Amino acid sequence: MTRILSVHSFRGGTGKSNLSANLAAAFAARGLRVGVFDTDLASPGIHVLCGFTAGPDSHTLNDHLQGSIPIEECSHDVTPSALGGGRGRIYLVPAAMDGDRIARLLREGYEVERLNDALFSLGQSQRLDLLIVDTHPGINEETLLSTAISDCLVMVMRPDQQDYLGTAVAIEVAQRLMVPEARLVVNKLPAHFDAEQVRARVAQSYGIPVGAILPLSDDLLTIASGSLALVDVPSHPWSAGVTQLAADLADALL
Amino acid sequence: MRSSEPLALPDGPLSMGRLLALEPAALRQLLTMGLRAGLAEPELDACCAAAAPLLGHSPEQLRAGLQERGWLRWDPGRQRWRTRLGSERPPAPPQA
Ligand SMILES: Nc1ncnc2c1ncn2[C@@H]1O[C@H](COP(=O)(O)OP(=O)(O)OP(=O)(O)O)[C@@H](O)[C@H]1O
Ligand SMILES: [Mg+2]
Repeated sequence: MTRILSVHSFRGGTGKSNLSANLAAAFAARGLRVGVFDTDLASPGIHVLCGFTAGPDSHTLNDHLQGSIPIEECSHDVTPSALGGGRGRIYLVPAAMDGDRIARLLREGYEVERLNDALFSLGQSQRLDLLIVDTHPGINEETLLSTAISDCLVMVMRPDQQDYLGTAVAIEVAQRLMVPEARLVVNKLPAHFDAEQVRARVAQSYGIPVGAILPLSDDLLTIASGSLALVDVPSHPWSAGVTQLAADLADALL
Repeated sequence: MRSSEPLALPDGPLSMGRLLALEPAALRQLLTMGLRAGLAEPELDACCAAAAPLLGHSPEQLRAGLQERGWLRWDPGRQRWRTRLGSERPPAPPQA
């Protein structure tokens, strides 16, 4: 059975999409078949990190949720060539990027039920080991669903007060939805912060395991605009942190 | 425990927001399991047995109440009970 890993945060801009895409690469490097769903339908972005450019005929998640295109036809192999030799694969289900489609989705909505069926059905038909769900920030019907069906919830936060408070709310929700596993990831840790102190504080505040403490990094800002840090600069501390997190998650889930 | 009172659950389709607010925890557990892999018959029995007394009803009443609301449906493809969200209506009758 495909394991579902949702990457979520209470507030926006914490680094969910970067983490999702790079985790996918780390899992694929371990020989796993990974699906990545962009469920941030209002402000999609992970396709850029995965190097995916939609052609005129390429289908997106919107075509499945608001139409009749099978989910398999909305999934695209984006395995980086550096990883192409092994069994590992990354299949991206991108969200539509043109303004009209986004507006239509927001206007008309869709049955969140279809998203659930799509996740399970792609997992089965592509024989995926793992499905990573990159989410919209905050709490809404989609994020509640992706939380509820997760085998593991990865909560991403920055080390600031607003994120501390918001993350507590999201974790309480996850606990009400009986999520079996959760990890906290602190991202964008400024260089002058003591990582071990932050780790201890966060672990104590939330009572769920800390998966990684990832540095704030200008290099990442540059790389992250269009490709995967894990592929471009694998020995960078941020990439090393994500690789380690993927190893831990693979042990816990597979 | 058995009650002649109607089941103290909201009417109408299930949404995630609604699921999140449900008590007791055993009922949320049942419905989240139904969203994930779905429940085999003995699992559904066990979940209903755990949740129903806390609602003051029998397991059979709870099970019937969930089905009447369309929150729980048998999935013949998967051979499991699955939680259904949203306002899926039964298919329209064929046009003559
Ligand atoms: N560790 C980091 N150091 C520096 N910049 C980072 C780091 N992580 C992410 N970023 C940058 O922060 C911005 C937001 O990242 P990303 O899009 O991954 O966040 P997000 O949580 O998915 O955002 P949204 O909530 O809008 O979906 C991007 O410009 C990204 O390059
Ligand atoms: Mg994002």
